[in-house]
Amino acid sequence: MIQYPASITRLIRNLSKLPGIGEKSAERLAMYLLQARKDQVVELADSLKDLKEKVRLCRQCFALSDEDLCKICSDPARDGAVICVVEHPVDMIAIEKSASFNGHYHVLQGLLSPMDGIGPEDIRIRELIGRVSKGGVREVIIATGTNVEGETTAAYIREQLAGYHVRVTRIASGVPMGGELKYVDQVTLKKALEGRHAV
Amino acid sequence: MSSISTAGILLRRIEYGDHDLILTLLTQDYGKISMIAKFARKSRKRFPGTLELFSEITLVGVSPRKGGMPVLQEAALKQPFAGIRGNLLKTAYASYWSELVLTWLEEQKAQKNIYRLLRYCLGALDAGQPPAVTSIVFQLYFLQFSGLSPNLRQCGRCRGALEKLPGEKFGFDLEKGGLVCKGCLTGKTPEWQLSRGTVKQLLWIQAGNLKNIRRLRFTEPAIKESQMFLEAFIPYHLGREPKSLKFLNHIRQLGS
Repeated sequence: MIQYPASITRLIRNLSKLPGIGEKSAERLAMYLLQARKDQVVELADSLKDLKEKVRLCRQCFALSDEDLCKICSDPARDGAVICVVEHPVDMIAIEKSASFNGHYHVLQGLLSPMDGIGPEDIRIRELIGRVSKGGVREVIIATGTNVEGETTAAYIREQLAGYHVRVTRIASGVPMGGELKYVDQVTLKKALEGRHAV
Repeated sequence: MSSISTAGILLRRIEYGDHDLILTLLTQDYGKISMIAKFARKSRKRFPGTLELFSEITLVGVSPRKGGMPVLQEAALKQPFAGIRGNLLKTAYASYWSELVLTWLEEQKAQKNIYRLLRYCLGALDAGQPPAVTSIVFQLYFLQFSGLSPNLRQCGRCRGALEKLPGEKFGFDLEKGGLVCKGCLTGKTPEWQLSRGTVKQLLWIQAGNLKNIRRLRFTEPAIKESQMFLEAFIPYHLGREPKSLKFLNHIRQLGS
């Protein structure tokens, strides 16, 4: 890289720090940016700057937001009495894409993981209890994953909310749409049979 | 180890990139090994529901010719121990044992007795056996199989045999790994002590085998004493407190 001017070398070095970008890819990107229109590059630089300056966590649900309160929490058309608990903002986006939920969210920003030393104080469980204890919440839907960490977190939340007058539910798990039974494991199949419903 | 085919218990899974998982397993024939499961996160068909913590699976893996981590080719669920998942206390205990195995064992050194022990204890947890007693059994045998068995037969200082030691309560010297009788105890009274009855029960476990463990009956004080002793002894020799032990203590406090 010694043959490049210092400003290009600096850009290549910074780009190669991004996940999945090696030095060669970084070099290619730097060359592309060098040849791109100035307004395009300025727009990219501004968006990166805004990302760090404007994006924060919603003070109520801890989703990513440009404002103090995210769009969902500040939307009067949504049902604030139902809270869906998810692990990460991407899980919230996945549920939003399904267009099947009209309540509020609570993003835990992680899951309990005993072996990694992630305990209840390291994720946003206390804040969830705080929201429920203020009243006005009818149902908490726990939509964490079905792996051990997801199930452990769900069990912990269920125990913590046991003393409150709120319905605590868990999203169903079973055979995926378009899935074939032969590919479904025995634990999932057992849960699917236990949770069967009349048609 | 160009190709391996064995049974294994999943101890740890780490997400790697967007599609893969790095797994650490305690296997029956190769001891603790790490493997990469390609597309395990992406594909619904490749390893459906098989790569969950604490599950026992049968696996086939291949080591790349140029070296590097073995790649998991096939996996089938042998025993999911599904009763552990979703139960906080059981998960906390299973995590604690898995962390001990992860941190204590050498890679690729078969330890069949530890494999059998972990399998037995996960099975006991799954079947609803008392987790605290199962954990005492796990820790005692784990120490024994690792060559760090505590000496409960005599005072580590005066060498007096247990039957001849004065008093009904004993201290324990963590550094020397042996009991300390009333006569040899110096300074202030230790935070925890072992009563004679508890020491005898621990000795019975040490001398016995897993087949007879179901006959074991512990009183509440004996469980508490054994827990305090083993959960002080193990971190002392490990050189640090296992992360999952902190979680386990938190969950136990919630339940009490």
